[in-house]
Amino acid sequence: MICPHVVLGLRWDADDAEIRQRYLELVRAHPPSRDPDRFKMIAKAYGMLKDRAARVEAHLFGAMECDSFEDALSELERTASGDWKPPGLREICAAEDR
Amino acid sequence: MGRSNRKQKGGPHTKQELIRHAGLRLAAGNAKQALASLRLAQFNGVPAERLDQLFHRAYLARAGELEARGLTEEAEAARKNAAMHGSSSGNLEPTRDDLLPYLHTQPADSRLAYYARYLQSNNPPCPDAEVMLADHLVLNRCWEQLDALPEACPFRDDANVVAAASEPLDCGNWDAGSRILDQLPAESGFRHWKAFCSAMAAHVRRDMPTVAKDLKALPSEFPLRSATKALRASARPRAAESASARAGTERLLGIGRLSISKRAEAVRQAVEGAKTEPIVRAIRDFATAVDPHSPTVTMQRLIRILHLAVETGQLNEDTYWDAFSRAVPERQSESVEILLYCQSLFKKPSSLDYLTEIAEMFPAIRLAFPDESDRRVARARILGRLAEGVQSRGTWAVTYQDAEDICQILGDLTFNSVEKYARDGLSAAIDLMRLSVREDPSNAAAHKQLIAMLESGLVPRTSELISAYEHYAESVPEDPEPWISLAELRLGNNAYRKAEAALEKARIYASQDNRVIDLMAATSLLATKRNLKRGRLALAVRDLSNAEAIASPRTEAIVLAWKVIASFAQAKESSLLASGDRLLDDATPPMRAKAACIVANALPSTGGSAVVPRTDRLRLQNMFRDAVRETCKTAPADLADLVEPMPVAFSCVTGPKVVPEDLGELWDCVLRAVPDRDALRIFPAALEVGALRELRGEIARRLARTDNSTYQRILLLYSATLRYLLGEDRGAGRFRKLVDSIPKQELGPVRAAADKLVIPVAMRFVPVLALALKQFDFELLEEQWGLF
Repeated sequence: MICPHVVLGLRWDADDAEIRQRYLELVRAHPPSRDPDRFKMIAKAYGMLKDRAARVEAHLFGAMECDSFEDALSELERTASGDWKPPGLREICAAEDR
Repeated sequence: MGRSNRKQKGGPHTKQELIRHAGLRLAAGNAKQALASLRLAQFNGVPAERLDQLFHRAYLARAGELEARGLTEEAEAARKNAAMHGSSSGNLEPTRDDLLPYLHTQPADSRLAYYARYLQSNNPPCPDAEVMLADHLVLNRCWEQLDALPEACPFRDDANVVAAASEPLDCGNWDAGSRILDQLPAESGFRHWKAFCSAMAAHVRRDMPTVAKDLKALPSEFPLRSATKALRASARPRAAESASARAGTERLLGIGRLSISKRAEAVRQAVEGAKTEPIVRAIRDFATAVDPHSPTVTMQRLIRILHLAVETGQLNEDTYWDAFSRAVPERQSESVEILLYCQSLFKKPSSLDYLTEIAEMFPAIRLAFPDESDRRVARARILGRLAEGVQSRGTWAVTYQDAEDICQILGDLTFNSVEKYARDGLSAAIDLMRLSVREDPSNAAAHKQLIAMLESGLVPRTSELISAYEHYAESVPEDPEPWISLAELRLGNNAYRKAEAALEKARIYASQDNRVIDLMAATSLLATKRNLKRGRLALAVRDLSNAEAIASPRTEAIVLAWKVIASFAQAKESSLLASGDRLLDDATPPMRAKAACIVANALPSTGGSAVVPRTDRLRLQNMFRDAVRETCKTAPADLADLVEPMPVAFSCVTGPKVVPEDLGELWDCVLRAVPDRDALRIFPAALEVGALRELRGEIARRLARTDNSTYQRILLLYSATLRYLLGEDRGAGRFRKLVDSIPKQELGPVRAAADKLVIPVAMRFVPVLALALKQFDFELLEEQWGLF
C-alpha cells in the first residue's frame, strides 16, 4: 500500500491518537460482517500507521509491493476512490451530527 | 395630569376593552404594544387564566420580532416567557398565528401532538410547520408519533411514503428511494428531502447538472448543510477545490472520485507521451486529488513509484530525473532519492552488488529520517530485510572482498567474521538480524525472525536460542510468548529452577494460556520425580496433587503415570501393579496405554530403593499392548493423540519419544487404524522410529483409495522419501515429477508436509535428502556426489 493515510483519510503527519480515533470510526462504519474488503483495507492501512515504527517501515518499503508503475497507479486510484459505496441517508444524517 | 389625559384619550378603559385591544394589536403584528395592553389588563385585575393564551401568542410574536433584529438572547427570553404562559394555556386551542413560533419553543417530541391539536381545531394545514415537522421525522425516524395526526391528514400520507422510502435510502440505494419519493406532491412538507434524495441519486450516477438543479430547491436552513454544501461544490468543479465543506463529508459522499479517475488517466497518458512538463503537471494534479491535505507527500511517493516505469523501460531515465528535479523541492530531493535507491535495491535482489549497495546506502538513511529514534527504527528494518535477503540467497557475499567491504560499512560485524560469513550465509543472516534487534529491541517481529533463523539450521543452537529468548523477553516483557518458550526450553534441558522462574513471568501475562498451565503441571511433576528420587514421599505427594489439580486432557496421562509410580513408592509392596493396577484399570484405553508406557520408561530413572519385578514389567508391557489394540478397535480417533510425540518440555517427566518407540510390531495395527485426517500427524513419528516398511505399505494402501488430490500428493512425497530411505530409488526423478505436477494452490500444504519430514529424515542420517526437503529443491539429490 503506497499511501495508507489516504485510505484512512488523514493528513500524512497525523499523530497516534488521531490515527487510532479515525481507525475506530472507520471500523464502526465498515464492520467486517458488512463490508469485508473495505474493512481489510482499513485494517491494513492502520497496521502501517499505528505507531512510529510502523510508519517508518511504511515510508521505507510501502511503495515496494507493486511490481509495475501501472499496478501502483491503479492501487492508488482504487485506494482514493474505487471502493466508494454510496452512503445511506442515516449515515449522512449521523455525519452531519458529528 | 397629562399622563391621565393621554391614557383616557387613546387607550381602552375597561378590562374587556384592554383584552380586545391586545388581540387587535397582535393581529396587526405589533407584539410589543399587545404585551403592554395585556400587562395593563393584568394590572387591572383580569384573571391570569384569561390572559395566558394571549400572553403566550404575544410573547412568541415578540420573540420573532426580536430574532429578526438579531437580538437572539432577548428572543430566547421572550420564548421562555411564552413557554411559561403556554404551559398553563395547554388546553387552549392553537391558532395559525402562533403555530410556528410555538413549535419552535417546544421540545421536538411534542411538536407533532401540538400540530395534531392545531389541525383538529379545523385550522388549515400550515406548509412551513409541515416542513419543520418533516425534518424532525426524517432526522429522528419517530414515525410512531404520526399516530397523533388525523387519519385524513395529507401530511400523514406523505410521511408514510417517506417511511417506506427510508429503507432503500438508508442502504444507499438512492435511485430506488427517489422513485418512491416521486409520489410526493410538489407542495409536500417533505419536498426538500425529496429534492436532496434526487440530488444524491444524480450524484451517484454522476449526473452533475441534475445535482445542481435539485440542490437549487433546497433552502439555506435545510438540516444537512454540510452534505448539501459538499454536493453543491462537486456540481461546480471549479469551485470544488476552494469549497470549505468538511473533508469527512466529502469523503463520505465520494466527491472527487470522478476527478481522480480522470487525473490518473492523465498521468498514464503523460508517461506514455514521455514529456517532462506534462508528467510533472499530471502527477501534481493527481496527488492533489488523491490527498488534498498533504499533496507533497503523495507526490513524493508518486515520483518513487514512477521509477518502476523506468525499470520496465516505459520511461526514459533522463526524462524521469528531469521530472524528479522539477517535482520534488530541492531540500527534499536527497531524502526522496535515498528512499528511491533503497526501494530499487530491495526490489532487484538479483543484482550481484545487491548486498554491498544496501550496506553503502545504510549511513545515508539519516537524510530520509532526521529524527534519531526514527533513524534507529529505519536502520533496524533495513538490517532485518538484509538478513532475510542473505538467508533466502544462502550466501553472504559474492567475494571475500565484498564481505570485507560490507563488514566495514556496517561497522558492527568484526573482520574476523568475514571468512565465516563468506562460507555460511545463515550465520551472517543471524548476526544481521541480531544487529537489527539491537537497533530496535521493541520489535517483537524481529525477535521472532531471529529465533526462527536460529531454529532453522539443521544443527541445534540451544544456548543461542535461550539468549535470544531472554533478550526478547527483557525487551518486550508484556509478551508472554518468549517466557513460555524459555520455560519449555529450560524444562527440556532439565533446568527446573530456571524453567520455574520463566514460568512465573509467563503466568503474570498469560495465566489462562493452556501451554502455561501444562508447563506448570510439568514442573510440578518434575518436582514429584525429584522428591521421589530423594525419598521425600510427603513432598512428592504434595507436588503430585498440585499437578493433578491443574491437569488438562494433554497432561492427565502423565499425571496418572506418576500417581502409579508414587503409589508404588508409598505402598512398600513387592509388586508395582498391586498398588497401581486399580488406577490404570479405571482409565480409558488410550490413557492407560500412554500411562503404562510412561511408567515403564520412567521407573528406572526414579532410583531409590524400588526394584520393579520382571513379572511387573512384562505385565506393564502387556497392558500397554492391549490398551493400544483396544484403542485401534474402539477409539481410532484418539490414536493420533496417543502416538504423536509429546512436546520436548515434557520429556523430563515422560522419557524421550514415549509411545512411538515402544510400539514396535504394533505400528502396523496403528497405521491401519488411524483415520485419514490424523494420518499426517503420526506418519513423521513412524518414519523417525524406523517403521519404514509398515509406513510404505500403509501409504500404498491409502494412495489406492484416496481421491483428494492434495492428500494424494503428500502421500506421493512420503512414498518417494521412503523409497529413497529404503534404497529402492535414490534418484530425483520421482520428486521432480511430483513437484512438476503440483498446482500453485496446493504447493503450501505439500511444502508444509515436506518440512515435517526434515527432522525424521535427518535423524536417519540422510542429510542430502533432509536438505532437499527443507529447500524443496530435489535437484540437490542429483548433485549430491558433486557436493562431496
